[in-house]
Amino acid sequence: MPQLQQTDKHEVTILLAEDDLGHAVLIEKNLRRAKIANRIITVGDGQAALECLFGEANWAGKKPVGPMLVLLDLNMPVLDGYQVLERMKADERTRRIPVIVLTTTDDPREVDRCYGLGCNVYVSKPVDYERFSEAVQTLGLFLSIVTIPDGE
Amino acid sequence: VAVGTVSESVSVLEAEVAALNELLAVQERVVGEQSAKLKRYADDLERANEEVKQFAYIVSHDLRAPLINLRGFASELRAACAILDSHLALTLPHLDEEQQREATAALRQDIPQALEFLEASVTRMDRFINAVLKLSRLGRNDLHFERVNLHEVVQAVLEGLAHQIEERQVKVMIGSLSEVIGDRTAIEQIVGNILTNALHYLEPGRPGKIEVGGEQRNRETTFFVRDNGRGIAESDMPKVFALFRRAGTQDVKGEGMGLAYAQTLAHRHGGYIRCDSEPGVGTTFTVVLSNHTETESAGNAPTATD
Repeated sequence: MPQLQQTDKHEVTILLAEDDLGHAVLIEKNLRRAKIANRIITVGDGQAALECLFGEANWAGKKPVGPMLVLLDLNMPVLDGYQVLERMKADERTRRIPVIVLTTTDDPREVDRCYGLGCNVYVSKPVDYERFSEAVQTLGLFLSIVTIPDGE
Repeated sequence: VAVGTVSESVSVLEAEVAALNELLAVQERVVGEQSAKLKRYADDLERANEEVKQFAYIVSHDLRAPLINLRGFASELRAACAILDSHLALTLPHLDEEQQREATAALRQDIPQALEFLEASVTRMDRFINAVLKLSRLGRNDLHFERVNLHEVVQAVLEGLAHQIEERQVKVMIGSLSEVIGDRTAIEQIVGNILTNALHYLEPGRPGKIEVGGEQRNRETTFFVRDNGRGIAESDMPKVFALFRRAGTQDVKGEGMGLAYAQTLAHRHGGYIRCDSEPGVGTTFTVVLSNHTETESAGNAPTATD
């Protein structure tokens, strides 16, 4: 299975920040269908996503996750996707990590706001499952050919 | 003239002036109170309006998320059933007749039927949500006020409808139409919705006539679309601008949102749309837009950073 490339050949871990467990399962299923074999860590809110990224709380003292790519939902409890994006882009350790916003809305204002905050790609989740599946699988294909910059 | 009479008259006048002054003071106080009250009402309305917009927006977003799951997992179930179905032929010989019948019915009738209902309901729900979302966006979008030539807008809309007008042999008459200050796209949508409606709800079997006209007054510009269509029953009037409500014979496709959108846009121009109708005779939609000045419109311009 193809894996996300990374400059120093360490495998990239996908951090999926998604509060809807169903969506998380469907996203993972479709990424696997697109033959993405990378490790996927799923967290249910923005705070947990930041803890994972910064190696805090549950992640403190553990082996660093390594190079990452973030799939970010916007409507999440505790901290929402915008707040996660802001914190990531304001911190030297995380500001180069690619962020793909994957969310229910295609409101142009929200899309603009995300790009303004520094997200790399914006994908809306269509209700139509074929299109949803297609969007996530296209994303998978895209992920299998991108090179992740070294986060350090 | 006696001095006494003059001074008497003066004191009478003085008393009257004092009384008038008192009355004026009372009136001023009342007006002050009234305008404070009006300001409070206006603030309350503004807040309520903002809440409604936010509400529609949030509801639309949050209602969509579960639909993605319903649709997604229904589709996953369908895929899983296809796998089971491909094994069914091999399994059937091992079952008795009753079990064969049950297994086949479950896999080929009951489950697909359940999935069909699920999916059809999701589709319907999705349509409603998208309609509400659109309405909420129309209520929030920035409007760009400019001079709009109504005559041009009407002509452009009619060109888009030319095929239908020709096909139904509808006679369209355009009277005098002036300029309005408004958002071009919004005005086009309002005109488009009303004209399309007039065209769609003509009386079958009667040569259709649609008349467009308007007038400019001091503070407002009006324009109307009058048809000789089937008309709207008095009891159906409340449905005309309501969301998802459609009146009369349901022989025309639509989601029942067009006039709701148009009314929302008219309200955003500080105006409104009125409907007068007589069943069997025809309907007149009148759009009343207040005459904004272009300086006023500057306040409505979107800010660069949002």
